[in-house]
Amino acid sequence: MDTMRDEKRKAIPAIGFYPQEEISTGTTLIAMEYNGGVVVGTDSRTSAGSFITSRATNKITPITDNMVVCRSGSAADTQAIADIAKYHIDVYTMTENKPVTIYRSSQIFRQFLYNYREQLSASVLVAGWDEELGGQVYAIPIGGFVSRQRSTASGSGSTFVQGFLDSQWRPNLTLEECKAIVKQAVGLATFRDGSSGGVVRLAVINKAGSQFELFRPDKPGFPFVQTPTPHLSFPPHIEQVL
Amino acid sequence: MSSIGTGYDLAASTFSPDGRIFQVEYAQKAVDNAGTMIAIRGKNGVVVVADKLISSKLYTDNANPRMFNVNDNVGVAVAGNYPDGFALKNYAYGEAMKWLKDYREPMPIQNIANSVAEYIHIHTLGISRPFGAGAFFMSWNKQTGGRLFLVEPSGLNYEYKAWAVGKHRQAAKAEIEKLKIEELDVNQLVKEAARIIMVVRDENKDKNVQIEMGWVGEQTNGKYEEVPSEVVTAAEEWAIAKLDEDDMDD
Amino acid sequence: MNAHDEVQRTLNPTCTGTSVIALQYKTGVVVLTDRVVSYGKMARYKNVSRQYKVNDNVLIAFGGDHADFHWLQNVIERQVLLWKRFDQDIGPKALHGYLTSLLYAKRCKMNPVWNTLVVAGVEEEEKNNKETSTPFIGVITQKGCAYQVKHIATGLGAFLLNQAVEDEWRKKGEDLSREEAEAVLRKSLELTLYHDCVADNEFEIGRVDATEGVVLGKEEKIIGDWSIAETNCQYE
Repeated sequence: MDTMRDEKRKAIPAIGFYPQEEISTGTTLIAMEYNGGVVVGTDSRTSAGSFITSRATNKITPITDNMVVCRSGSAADTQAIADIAKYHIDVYTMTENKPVTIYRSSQIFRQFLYNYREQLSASVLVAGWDEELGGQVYAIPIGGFVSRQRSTASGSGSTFVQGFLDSQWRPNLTLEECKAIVKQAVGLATFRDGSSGGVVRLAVINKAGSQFELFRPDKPGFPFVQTPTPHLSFPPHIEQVL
Repeated sequence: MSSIGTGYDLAASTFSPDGRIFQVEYAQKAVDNAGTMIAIRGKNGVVVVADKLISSKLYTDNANPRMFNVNDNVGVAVAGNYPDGFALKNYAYGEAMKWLKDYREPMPIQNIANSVAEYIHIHTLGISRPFGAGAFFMSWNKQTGGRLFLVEPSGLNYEYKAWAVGKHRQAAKAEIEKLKIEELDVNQLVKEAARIIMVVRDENKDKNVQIEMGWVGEQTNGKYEEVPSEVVTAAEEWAIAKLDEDDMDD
Repeated sequence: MNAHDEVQRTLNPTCTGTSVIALQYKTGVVVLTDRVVSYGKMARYKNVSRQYKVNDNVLIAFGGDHADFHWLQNVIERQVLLWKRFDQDIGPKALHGYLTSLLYAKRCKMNPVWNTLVVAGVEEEEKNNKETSTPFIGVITQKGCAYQVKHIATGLGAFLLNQAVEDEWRKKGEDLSREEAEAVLRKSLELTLYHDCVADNEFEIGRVDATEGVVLGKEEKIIGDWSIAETNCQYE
């Protein structure tokens, strides 16, 4: 939880900062299963009110070689949870001498998010691959409810693309198909969501481990969105150009 | 007039036994006796011309214009009693402003004409005396082409291809009918209109007269404007030459 | 005020635009605005202009509530018609003064117009003599606070850009060329793009020049430099 003292948390309306709003990642997080693992995609914007505090954030945090967690909510909270959960998972891996399953890892995250649900402002997507169940995505929103998903979106940008994702997933997606869908979903979300933006970061997690990719707006491959040709904005009798 | 002095002409609220409203007819006389004003809709615009009696040399140029903008696109030209006409123009302007405020578009000419006609009618019926003035409204745009309305003191409001009011209206209308106005472009209309005004003048009585012109059309990009004085002068010169030529033929 | 007088007032902006950046150059003014309408932090509508051509000498750009500006646009349009009725063409100084009074009066009635206005133009000091015309930038906030400037950035741009724009302006001062001024604006937008959630990379640059009059801008786009994303990526 943000520990700034109450009396210090004055609103700054000019930049859209109100103390009841956390300094948070805003965020678009996308995760989707394919036939050999999972693909996750995120934006890179961190903001306080309307102010972008970081435009190139990395929101995909590796936990093990075969698992990542995508964070949204209070940056400080989720970072702390990721660190602590990673510690626990690493300890279990060492004591049991075999990898902790993705499902159990998601339950470890759940314990923190549920037990401290009143204190925390955090939600995560746990995505990874294990021998038992292959590629898996677990969504844990604020409150600590855990559910396994074929594909899901999280964060403020998710509302803009959940329908798109629902329409795109099908059984036995190939890696390339899945990457294209996830990348386009992040592009669509960042296009409309002011709290999301910057670059697109993708991670592919499968038997081989985790591969990370970066798509910059100033380099080929960035998922730009085309809108229809517009109409004029002022009343028709006013002189204006497109 | 047949019933003068019978008491039926004292108020606009009283009909005569044969169904006439004398006060309104008298108001019409104010227009009928005023300087000739003609308006013509041509191929790509509308032109209005007034013949104005300049009663003193001490007036500044165009001291009492009869033609105004209602908004950028619609012009009004008033004939008859000047202050009454001025009031009508002010009313039209106010209505156009209200329309722009409410609907965020310029008031269409049909609505302006209707609104002024209704105002005249209500004014005549219940408020006071009739207006001793009539008003031409004109506009042009690509969709509708040229449009020309005349609102009369009775509240009558018709759309015309061309019309004339004032002293020599009959002769002027006869002259207009000789032209194929649909084929004339605005620049030709200006000349012909000047010629008509001149040809219908009573050479003995109409002295110290001046021509005022307004136009709206393709060449003004749909904006109503006063015709520049050099164009008016050129039209007058053309008209004089043309009239001389016609005299020679005779 | 008693219960019968209660009226609903819009005290929060809904559909909004962000920064306006404007800069004087030798013979005129250039103005930059982006073209997105935000609904909260959602980029709700794209390709919407925030610059209104009042007449050949005046251009108004705005930030804040679009609905409020559309109301203002209509008020201005009618004011311009009223001036025309008396054969006058309103200039930027006069319009700036008029809008200052209007916005101040509205906020005194606890019903502010939620816009920051930038009135840009050239003031004709002598009728029909372009030689003596001077560039003008006037700002008005939603509270009716008004001032004249040589350069301005409003909204989040006020926090980010004013010093940068001033520094650039000072290098050349009154001799700044149009191209140089526009380059400053483009660089400024790039900065807001990096630091303002509700700024967009699609924008227009309008200008008012002593000789050309108002020239409305066409839609442009910038991408920016994202090489920082290559280095700032701690994968643990």
